[in-house]
Amino acid sequence: MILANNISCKRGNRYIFKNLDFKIEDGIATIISGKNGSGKTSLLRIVADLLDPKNGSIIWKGKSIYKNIEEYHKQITFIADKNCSKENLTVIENMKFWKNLYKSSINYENFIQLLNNINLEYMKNEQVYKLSTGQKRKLELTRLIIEERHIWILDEPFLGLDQETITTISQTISDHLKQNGSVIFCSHIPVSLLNKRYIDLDLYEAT
Amino acid sequence: MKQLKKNIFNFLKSILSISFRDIKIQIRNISYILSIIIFFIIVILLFIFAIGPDQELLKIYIIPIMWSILILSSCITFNKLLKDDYDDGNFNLYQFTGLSFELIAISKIITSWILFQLPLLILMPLIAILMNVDTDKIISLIITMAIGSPILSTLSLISSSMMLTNSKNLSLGSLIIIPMSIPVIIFSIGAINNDINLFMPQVNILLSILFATIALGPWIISICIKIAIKN
Repeated sequence: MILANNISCKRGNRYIFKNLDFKIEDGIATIISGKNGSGKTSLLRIVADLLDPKNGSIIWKGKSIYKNIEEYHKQITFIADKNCSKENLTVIENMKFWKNLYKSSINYENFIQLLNNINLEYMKNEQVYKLSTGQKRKLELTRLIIEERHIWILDEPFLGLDQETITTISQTISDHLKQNGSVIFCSHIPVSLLNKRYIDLDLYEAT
Repeated sequence: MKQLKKNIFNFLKSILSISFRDIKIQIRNISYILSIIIFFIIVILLFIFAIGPDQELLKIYIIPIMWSILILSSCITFNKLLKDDYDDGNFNLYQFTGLSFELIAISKIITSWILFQLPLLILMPLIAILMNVDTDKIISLIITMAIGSPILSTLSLISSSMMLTNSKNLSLGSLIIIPMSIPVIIFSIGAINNDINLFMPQVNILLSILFATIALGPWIISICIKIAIKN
């Protein structure tokens, strides 16, 4: 479980949100909602330790994450709004790179199965620049499985995806939650998940 | 012991996968490396035309000219490897692998040297032979370049890491590389052109610059990357 204790975020001279407390429980999806500019991405980056909060701290396993930062990092899969696949590499080459980087136990057959599930198998040997926006996003989301991490932090994961893939990814998130994983994400697209909790950032808007 | 071996193997696998991927990407985008080689040759030709047909003058000046152009080439390539990874969010990926950014910086320095300095390192002695430069000087050139070019790669990556969040004024990067390269060019050209007795002392100074750069460079690069990520 991750606890956010009295978090405030300041960008430039402006506070985006102030005094935010919430918890990310294992097995329950935490969904961040709010209007544009309310600080959804900033909050996700704070939870992922990619941005320092102005005040407050993130508590994991009863301690501040900075007390055990390396171990905390090793638990996280962070899918940003930008795709980090390399355009000059093929779909499979990108997946192999992620596997080697994260020392994953996934093998080639799993890759094919994974690509089949999201209708991307026929593009497996194509370079990423030939993929459409939605297909690039699908490839990015394969990292959820490849990296084999406990905490999933997702920034607009469904952006540009078709309904069929949204259902598949929602199912993947549900399966992860069933295995007691932690998921926090922001999305403007409604998602059908059984165990979910909302954080409405509009309520914490700094005045 | 087995666990330690496995950890070291996994760790090397992760680092090498970054290097191999970078090399593969740049080879697929070969026009970028070719443009640096062509830039190098064209600027040398420019100097040759400017100096005129005097072979003796060319023999004297061609090595300092080539060294200067090598530094200018570093200024062109400085922004490639780190900036690409920063822009597409790959540094976030690295952060969650547990690999230290210092080691990633070392991997990037080696990759940058292989991709952007090694082709010029092969080309320079060939051009020196074409210009009828003495064999002794060509050997000295190869030795000084072998020591000097990793320094240039490290400096260009330091400069690149400082420029990660700056996408507007890229010429600022060259302003960091060029002044820091001055000692390298002084001692390299000194070692090649001066008396044979002064060769080793100057090479030793170059080596000390190399070790200092390699020792400090990855830490500076890593700190700059960490600052850029949290920006």
